[in-house]
Amino acid sequence: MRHPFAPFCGTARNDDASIPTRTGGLVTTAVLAESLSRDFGSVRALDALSLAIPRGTVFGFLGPNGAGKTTTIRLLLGLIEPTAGRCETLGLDPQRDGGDVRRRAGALLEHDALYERLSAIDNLEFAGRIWGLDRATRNARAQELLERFGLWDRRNDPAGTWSRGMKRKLAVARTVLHRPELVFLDEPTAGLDPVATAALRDDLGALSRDAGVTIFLTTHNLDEAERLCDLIGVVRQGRLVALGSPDELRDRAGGWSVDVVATGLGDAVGMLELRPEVDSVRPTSSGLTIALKAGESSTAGIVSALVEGGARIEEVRKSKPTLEAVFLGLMGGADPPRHPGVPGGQGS
Amino acid sequence: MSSDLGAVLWKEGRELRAQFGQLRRGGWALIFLLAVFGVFVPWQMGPGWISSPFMAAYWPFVATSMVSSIVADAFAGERERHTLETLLSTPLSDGSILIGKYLAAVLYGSGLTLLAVSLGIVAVNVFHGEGELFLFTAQRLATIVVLTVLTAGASAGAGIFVSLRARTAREAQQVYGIALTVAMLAPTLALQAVSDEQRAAVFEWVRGLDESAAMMWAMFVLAGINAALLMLARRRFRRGLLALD
Repeated sequence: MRHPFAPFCGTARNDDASIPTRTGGLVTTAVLAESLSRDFGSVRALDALSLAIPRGTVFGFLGPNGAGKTTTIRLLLGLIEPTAGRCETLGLDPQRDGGDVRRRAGALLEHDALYERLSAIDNLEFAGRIWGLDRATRNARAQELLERFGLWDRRNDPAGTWSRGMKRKLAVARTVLHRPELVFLDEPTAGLDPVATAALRDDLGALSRDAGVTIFLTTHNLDEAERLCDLIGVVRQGRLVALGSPDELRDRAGGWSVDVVATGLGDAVGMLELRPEVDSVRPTSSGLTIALKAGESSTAGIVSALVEGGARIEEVRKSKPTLEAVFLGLMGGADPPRHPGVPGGQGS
Repeated sequence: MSSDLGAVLWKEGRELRAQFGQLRRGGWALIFLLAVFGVFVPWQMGPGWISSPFMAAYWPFVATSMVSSIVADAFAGERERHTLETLLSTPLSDGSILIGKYLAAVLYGSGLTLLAVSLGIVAVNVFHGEGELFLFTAQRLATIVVLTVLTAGASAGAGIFVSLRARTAREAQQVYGIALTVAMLAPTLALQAVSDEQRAAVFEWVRGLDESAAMMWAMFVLAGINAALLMLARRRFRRGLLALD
């Protein structure tokens, strides 16, 4: 099945994984930041951020409010200047070539930023004119996007009369109307119902997977980040504190966890703690929670040992730490460590 | 640049149409202004509305009134409605955004004022014609058009300059209103501040001017004010600061 943004994407990830630069070279990195910092007065909003996001990646930028996510997007779009360091967006210097960066990228920022007195079709018409699309292209793309999002029947209603979710969908449609190579999305599913959220998540995944569009996503929805993102960066107090795939981040937070519901456990805690694959054992009201060491995943030996020791096992559940647990772990402590900016690298 | 300018003008026009195109949203206010300036005043004044040279001062006042009703919203309104940062995140150049909003206000103010002029000609002839056709001379009409556009431009430039800094459209409207009042009272206050001899000399100089020369002076001064205000607004338009507001 053709993905919903197929008519709107100009490049194919697998055919051409490189972006031509102004100097005629090729870059495979959509976003590059090197020791990028930005101060506002005495406040350091972004602290030596180093980051490389490959083209075609869905990158999730996670962090609490005020962590520096929006500042990073503004820097990458060339809206503000860095205090120190440098960055490249689509191979361009946003400070020097901000207009070109913004022409090739799309941005849905914190607010929907719709002109509420104007109809949906007029909002898209304005975007199409800004990006220099001809009339036929503007009309065709607007219709396809509005139909895709189920907004076509109300295309002539003022956007201000729409629900929050409908406005968000229209804002997303406006952001991708001109076939951007890179899309910045600040909380794209905020305010959407679960069905619309799932649909938009699928659409964004398709946009990256099938069309090679790089998506730079900020979200507080960790489940969404886990499902959608190839690469996740966690920022805290302006510092990048973790970077990697969702699996890598979970692995960094610890190995598998095994919950055992059982009776007759006796001195199982002491016995299990001697096993080489076990990191720690904690008694619970219904049995035990066992943390396996990194790289260990088998529970067969543990179950056998418990049965041989006389335990009557009712249930064994094995799970990895959730991204939420990883995130909350990274948000603890007074002074956040800085990550070197290489996926999988360890924080200092 | 021209297509960027066209896009901004298109959007501003659509917003004005959405606002004033419906009677409840502002259409009545527009009809009221046109009725007062284009029908009631000409009907009251009669043929003098067309022949009096002092009416040249009337049109700048009308143009200013028209422009003042919308221009404070230019940037402050976008900021208040959270559309400004997204507008700045597009490839539109600084100049096209600034000039687009300026031109939209000028076209709106000038267009409505010249519509009021046209209505006024009809009103004078309908109510006072009695078989005679009252029309502006070509020179008077050209003066009205140029003065109207320049005054609308000066008003728009001042409004844009204020709106760039104001946090809300209401704040912009208040500051702009005070600035307009000061600007309109400035000649009177200046005359009161000088000595009797100096005041007499000024009046003598004005009396000595013929209408054409006076209009040329007015146009020259207004063009200078336009240029100065646009330059100030351009200096105040800093993308980084606006994005952070």
